[in-house]
Amino acid sequence: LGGSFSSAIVLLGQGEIQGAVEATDPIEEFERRQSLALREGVADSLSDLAMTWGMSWVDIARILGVSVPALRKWRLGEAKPKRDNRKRIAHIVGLLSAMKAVGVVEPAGRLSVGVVDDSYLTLRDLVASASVTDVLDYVAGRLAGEELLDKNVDGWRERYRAKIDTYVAADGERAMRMRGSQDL
Amino acid sequence: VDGRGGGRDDRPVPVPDETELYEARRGGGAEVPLTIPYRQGDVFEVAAGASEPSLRMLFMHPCTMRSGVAIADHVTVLRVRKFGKGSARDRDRWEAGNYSEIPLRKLLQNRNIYDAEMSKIDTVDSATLPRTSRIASLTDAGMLAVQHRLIFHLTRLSIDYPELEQVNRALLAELEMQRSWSELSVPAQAATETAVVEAEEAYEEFLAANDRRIRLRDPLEGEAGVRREFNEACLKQFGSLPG
Repeated sequence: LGGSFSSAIVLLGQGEIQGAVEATDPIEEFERRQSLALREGVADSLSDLAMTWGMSWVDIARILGVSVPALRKWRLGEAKPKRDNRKRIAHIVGLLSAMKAVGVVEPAGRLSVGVVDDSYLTLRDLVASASVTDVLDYVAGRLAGEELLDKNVDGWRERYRAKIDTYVAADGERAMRMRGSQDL
Repeated sequence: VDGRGGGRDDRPVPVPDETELYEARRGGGAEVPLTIPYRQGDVFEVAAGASEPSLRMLFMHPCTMRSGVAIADHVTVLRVRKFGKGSARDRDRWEAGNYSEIPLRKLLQNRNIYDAEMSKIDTVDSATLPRTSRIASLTDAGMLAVQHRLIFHLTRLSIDYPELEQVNRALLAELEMQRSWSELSVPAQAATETAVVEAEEAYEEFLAANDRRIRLRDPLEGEAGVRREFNEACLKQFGSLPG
């Protein structure tokens, strides 16, 4: 994959990337949706994150560093978030739209899984600190996960090293195993 | 830790503060909402009226203690004891050792401190644990703390909380949506055990349809779709978004 994000076809061989994508520039899409979200207001943006993107309140709250009850108050108009948080909510809306434009099937899901095998850090942990360009480069396969973490998280290899793998066991439930060991 | 088994790691085993540990506690006129599903770490009063309450903690893994969205017929519980008066040294005591105990600071919202003893396990009929006798329910972080301590007690293996959270993600999502569904179905003032069970049965129907429970286990491409469908179902049925 070379050239700009506006490539009409994205073929990366990754499970989460669709074969064909609309010719939308993801950065423009980010800016357009972010701007729209700021105009629409917090309640609409939060509903959009839940209804359109399938994000959980828990994940949204964690990205913003607030509690789920606080989100509920904002959504119901019982309290107003500060300007920083309004911008952060609009940022998430814009980012998910841009990820979709890059070809990510479920952007909210992409935020919740590990960036690299060796660490349990997820994109959700990086939303507040990483640049939009870096995140989009990463999900488009133009930036390795290690590079994304090197740029944004000091000492991630030591501080956030994954000891276990999760997998689906024979009974259909998720299970843990030490890295490098066999399925039960 | 040098990775070859000869190292030393002096980091304490984390113990959540009571503000992080409890989702709801009985006390000060408050009750644990019946709409909260049965969860690992729930504490029940099993001999009400005695001079000293007899307390038990549900400790089976949250997958195995559930039959669909309902509690299994038989479950294992830990005995909960009054340990003594709270002191500043409690945290040190639990962080640096005594790994067979699950600390329950301010369980009854008084000065006494309690712990669940992992060496004292009983199997009980779940009918003896009605939700009306529940005196505490733990947060997600509290439930993961129970798992962390249980694994460490049994194996001496310390799993970081984010990794435990990752493996529990689908179950936590299922529980979160179950509670939301019950809250939307049953007004708080009209909540009874029977009404909540009926709401949970309707939620089970939703979850069992269209492979939703299976899709929920796929965080990359399945969970978001199930959440969208759940939100749509809540809007359609109750006229309100969950949560």
